Amino acid sequence: MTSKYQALPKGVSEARFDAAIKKFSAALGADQVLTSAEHLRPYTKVMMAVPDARHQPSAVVTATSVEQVQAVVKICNEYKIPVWTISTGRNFGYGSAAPVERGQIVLDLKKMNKILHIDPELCTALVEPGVTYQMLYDYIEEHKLPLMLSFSAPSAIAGPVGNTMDRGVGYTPYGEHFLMQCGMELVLANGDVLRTGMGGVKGDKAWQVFKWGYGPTLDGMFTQSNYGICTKMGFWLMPKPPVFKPFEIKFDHEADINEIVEMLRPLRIANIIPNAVVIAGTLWEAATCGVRRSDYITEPGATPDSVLAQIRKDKHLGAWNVYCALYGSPEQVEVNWKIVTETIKRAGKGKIVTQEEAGDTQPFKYRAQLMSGVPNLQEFGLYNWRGGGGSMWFAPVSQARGSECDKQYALAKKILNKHGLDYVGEFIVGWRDMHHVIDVLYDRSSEEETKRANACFNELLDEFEQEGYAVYRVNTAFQERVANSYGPVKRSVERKIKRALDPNGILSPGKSGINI
Amino acid sequence: MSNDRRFVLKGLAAAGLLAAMPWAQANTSAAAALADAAVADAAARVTPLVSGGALDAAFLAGVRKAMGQPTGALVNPPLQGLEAATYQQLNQLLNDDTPTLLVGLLDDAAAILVLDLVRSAGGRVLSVEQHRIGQGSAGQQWAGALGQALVAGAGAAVAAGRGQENGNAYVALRCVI
Repeated sequence: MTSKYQALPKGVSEARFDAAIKKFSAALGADQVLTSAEHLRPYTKVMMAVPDARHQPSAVVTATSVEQVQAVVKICNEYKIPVWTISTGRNFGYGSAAPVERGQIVLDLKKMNKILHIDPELCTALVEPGVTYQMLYDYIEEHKLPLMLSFSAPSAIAGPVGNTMDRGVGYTPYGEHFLMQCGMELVLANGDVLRTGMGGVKGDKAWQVFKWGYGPTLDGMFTQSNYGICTKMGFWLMPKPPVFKPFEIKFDHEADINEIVEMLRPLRIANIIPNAVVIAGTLWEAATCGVRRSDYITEPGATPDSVLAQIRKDKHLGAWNVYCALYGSPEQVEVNWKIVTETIKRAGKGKIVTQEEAGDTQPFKYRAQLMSGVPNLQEFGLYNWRGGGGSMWFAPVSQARGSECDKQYALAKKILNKHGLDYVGEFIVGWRDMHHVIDVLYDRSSEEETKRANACFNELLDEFEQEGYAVYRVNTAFQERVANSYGPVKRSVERKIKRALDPNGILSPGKSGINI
Repeated sequence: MSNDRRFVLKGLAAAGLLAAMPWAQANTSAAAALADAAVADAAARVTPLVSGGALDAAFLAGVRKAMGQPTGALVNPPLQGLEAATYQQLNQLLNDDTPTLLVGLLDDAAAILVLDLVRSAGGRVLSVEQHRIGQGSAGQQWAGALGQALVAGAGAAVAAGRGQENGNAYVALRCVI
């Protein structure tokens, strides 16, 4: 059956949707309600190995205030319209701006983009969802504040609210972003406005400095979930250190991963190296410094090891390339640098590259920028490795043990190569964990390759689960599948909470597999 | 066209009212005409986008030809790559109030950034297509034809480059901002 809309919400007739659209227009202004194919097209552009149509929104509405968000929620309840909320919509590896299910309307909060407060003494910030890291960076620079940001790689155009709500990570000592979050404001499905932590106390000034408040601490349940719409978020900023010393350690062999992790873990846990260390594989490095697969090989399928070796040689890359930084006073950095260099010397392998030696070469330059809170867009080079617009991030976590990383790397490479795709991955070292991030890159303009990529992603999930691993985050096409990895009891609890808070199931139904 | 009319047209287009206002179906032909007028208005100010590829020159020549400027500089110089300066320039372009037709032949990295910035600016994506094109003379010809076709709004040349498995990946796009 044809409709004048690009899609309709599940179970909602066109006439009913007409009425809802009319109400959205009255509440928000007609210019904040979009239904045309030309406006919805960029909201539908996904990089996942499934048809676009599965993620086609029916409309996009934008809000400029908490009151307008409340109005949207009210109309959605009245007409049973599911609403998928985005802040900047730049969650590229995990679903972009498109909704998890066809027909949902998108609530785009890009226009709620006020930096509400930055306290340079307490080193805290309070922002709206549309604020990007670039906006924050510009503000900090303009006001000459002695503060440093932490962000994910799409830094300039992504934002702290979306990244933190999806439990994204960055590359500075404040890289575990949810850990640095302090205070949220949320519009609930019934229109109530909840402030977490100290935010509910009249006259309180500690909202952005004391996370826990009183009674149950609720912030975590609103991340990677669909229990509320975050309209403000507080977080901590790192004081800009007097000395920042980035460095790289290159390792020649893939088999070195075990020793690398065993060597770095004690330094990381003891905060000798305080930032989220990255251990990047050859192809991640190559792609981010402008190498394309077609520069070396035109045959389809997995890139042979001989080609990887040639790329390493040509571009002076390691099989593993470790990026770390030291922060602090000159004395602190000097002491820690001595500990780091002696540790590497003792290991008998690994070549240290300092900033002075690297100069402005990529990928060192952008890595140093990420570790020092300077936004850039260099990592988008990944999408040019194969080209064709296909990208799905597979992100299993593990203990920070060499044996675990070795095992995960071997398993991932075997499965990817079996499906004719490449291992383009990195490990991000948390305090005690590893986020193993693999970009499953494929040519989405090829139907055959897209099918292979889909099969590959399913096999990665299945085989890793067999070995006791699960991903910490996944794109919208696989969220229902991944929810099962965490067991039926968790799913049941999540559903009960959903039914209690959102009885009509209007807020992002299907997000993380959560439905009423 | 007056600035007021241009503003109204851009406002209507931005609101999605020109082609999709559900309760104004009785006037769809008028709405379509207005939409076409908005695109035509934007077409007076064309900004080409390229990303440092082998087909850039041919593509830009095609754009010039379609605009009646077969030689010399374009009125709006091309934006190239996505270094910080390009990003700033594109943002400025997206946020001024003058209707502009963006036509691009980009690599995937640049295309995803451009499309998302257009989305955030409330722009309209008229077409976006993936292609694989070789770098030989056929590729150059294709890129020239594409440049012309995107400015003129024709689709035939756009489709011509599909299906070359061993070529380089490109994204062709046409947006009104």
